[in-house]
Amino acid sequence: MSDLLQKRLLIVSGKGGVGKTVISSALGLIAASRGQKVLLIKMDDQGRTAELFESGPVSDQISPLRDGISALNLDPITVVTDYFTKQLKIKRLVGHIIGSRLFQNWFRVSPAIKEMISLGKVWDLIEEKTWWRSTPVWDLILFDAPATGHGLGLLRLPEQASKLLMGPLKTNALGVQAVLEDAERTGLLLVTLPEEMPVNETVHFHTEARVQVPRVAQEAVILNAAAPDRFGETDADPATWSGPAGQAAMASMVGSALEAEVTNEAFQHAADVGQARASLTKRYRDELKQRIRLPIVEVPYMFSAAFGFKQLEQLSGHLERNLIEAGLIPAREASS
Amino acid sequence: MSYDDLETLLREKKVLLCCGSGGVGKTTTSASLAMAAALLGRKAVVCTIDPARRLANSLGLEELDSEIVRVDPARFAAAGVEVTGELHALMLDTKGTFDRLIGRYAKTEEARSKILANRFYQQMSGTVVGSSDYMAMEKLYELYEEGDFDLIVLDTPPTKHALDFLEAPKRMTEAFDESTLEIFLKPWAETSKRSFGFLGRALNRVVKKVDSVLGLKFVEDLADFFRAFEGMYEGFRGRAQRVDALLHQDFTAFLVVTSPQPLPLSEASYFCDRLREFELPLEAVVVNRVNQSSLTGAPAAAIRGRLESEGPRAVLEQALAAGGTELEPTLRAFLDQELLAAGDRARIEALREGSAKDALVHEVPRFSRDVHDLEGLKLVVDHLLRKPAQDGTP
Repeated sequence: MSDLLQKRLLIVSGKGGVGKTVISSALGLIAASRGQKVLLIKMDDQGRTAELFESGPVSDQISPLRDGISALNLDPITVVTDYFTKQLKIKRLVGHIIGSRLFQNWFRVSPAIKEMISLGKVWDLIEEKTWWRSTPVWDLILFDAPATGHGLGLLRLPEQASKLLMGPLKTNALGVQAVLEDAERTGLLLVTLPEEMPVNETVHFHTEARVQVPRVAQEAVILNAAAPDRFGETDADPATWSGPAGQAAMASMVGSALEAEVTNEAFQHAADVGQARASLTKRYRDELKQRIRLPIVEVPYMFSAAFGFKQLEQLSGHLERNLIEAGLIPAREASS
Repeated sequence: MSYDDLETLLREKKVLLCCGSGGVGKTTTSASLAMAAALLGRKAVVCTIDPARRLANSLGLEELDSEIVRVDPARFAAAGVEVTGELHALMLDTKGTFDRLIGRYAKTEEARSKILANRFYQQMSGTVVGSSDYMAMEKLYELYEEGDFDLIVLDTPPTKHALDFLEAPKRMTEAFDESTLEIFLKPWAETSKRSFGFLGRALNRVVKKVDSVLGLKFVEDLADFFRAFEGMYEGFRGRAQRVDALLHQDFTAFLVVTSPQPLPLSEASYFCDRLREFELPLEAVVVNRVNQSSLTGAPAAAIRGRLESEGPRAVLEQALAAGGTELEPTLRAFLDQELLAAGDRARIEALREGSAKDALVHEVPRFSRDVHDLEGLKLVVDHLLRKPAQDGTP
């Protein structure tokens, strides 16, 4: 039986706004609750991860979020400083140069260097071993990748860079490439939403990645915010069910519970919205199934006013059940 | 003095920049704003970054069409929309715009083709995030200078670091600054006797070291790339300054687009803060896909509290029991809707009172359909042109 969580690196990719942060956090929770030491790697985290875990801020130094799960915000400038300090061994000088506005400007416009160095850092972390037992420090690294489009460029980068570079960076690029192309160790997850743009982009990314980085193992599509089909085949018009009297009774009960005024139209509106959501989900689920031959794992729409650790735990519970059902991870031992 | 409605803004301004994070409907909002201006009788153009194909097609744009296309009035007529102005649209072609910019400032034909053929240039102009930021600004200036439009609406690239694109022209010119060039080029020439000061000498030493770390070929290619830009700096700098001046004009307005989810909203408030910091004219925030509440007669915060507490939920379970199973889906959908609406309301109010307090905050409800045709855009337009009620709800 395959187990997605036995890999060393899971790359979580998707268009901006589809919920990569939430999904990678939920995967981290699942793996950690199964006893793994998990590292969540972010690029440009803007405080959302800390909000989700209700923890301290995620910084450019590895810091714990919860039991068994730590996070790192990969800041290219920090990584490049570390890298050059290690290579050149003149810390103060490196600090001066890298701190200068000139270097920072140049570094930001120079193509691919920061991405390559960041990937090199991910590789370092995968290879990192404890000194006492020589076992990996991290059982599973979850890499919350930059938005697709740039994501594909990132996956292709090591191969391109290895052709362009010489010296230590070339070794680095080849190492990264070997990890990315090793299906035993690395898997790619595509996160999407039941909406037109995210679905199109996912299909495009999937197709392009199969051609351009054929050895990178695409594991599954994660369809986030899938709306429940509450109505099934039934007619959503509340008026046809219990008659005006039934509706009025319902409105008054709900109204008194919430100490607010509810009209019959409110139910009609909610029913319409709910049904529209469900039918969009169905349409895009079908489209994904038709166009991508990968398991499609759904995560339900979370209907709540706020989204913190409690909701994250609920969501990861759903995700875990659906991953088990899709055969991507084994069920838990009965004893645990 | 902030605007009371978007209509006045659309009538008075010449340049509108829509910024926001990815996935919040920025492209649709940009297209709708331009269409709204056309409805108001103006000659408007929208430059989009990466529209959904169906949206592009509905405007009459083929895929990756970087030419300005006028949306055929017949399309509007067919959709039952009366447009007294004009709507034009185009897609940003990062590489094409960059190539043209090089053509504009390269001293010789040889210099131009050398840059266009450089491997680093090809990678940078086509794929790297920073360059689309820069080119969006460049395109805006082209449209402003060469086009004859009453209103230009620019859909900006989704940026990770809020408002990177504002600094892009400046950063790009700094990167090609003569002194940068000098520092990068000198180490490969004969050992220079000239002193660059502490930083220059140090860089010189480090660059040599870096060379040994990165490998010679790499640095040579890169130096070649920078060398090719020599002499173009003045042109770049002048242009960057003019772009910057355009952004600060009275007739320019910034508009932040967001959705009411926690992450986009916190990014939106960060955008607002940064715009203020840059002293740029933030005029409006458009919040898309707002879940609507159907409850009245009690403050949103109180309703939210009751929805989330266990007591009323138990009563609702009773209502379910009384209503019978056939009403269950409706009641559950109702609760879903009200919970989402309550969360949206609280977050939007926080934005209104916080980072967006000097700007118009305009809400557009969540539609139960995708917006991908002119009828859909018209629906958005109607909501954009609607005058907000006193309490801000649309």
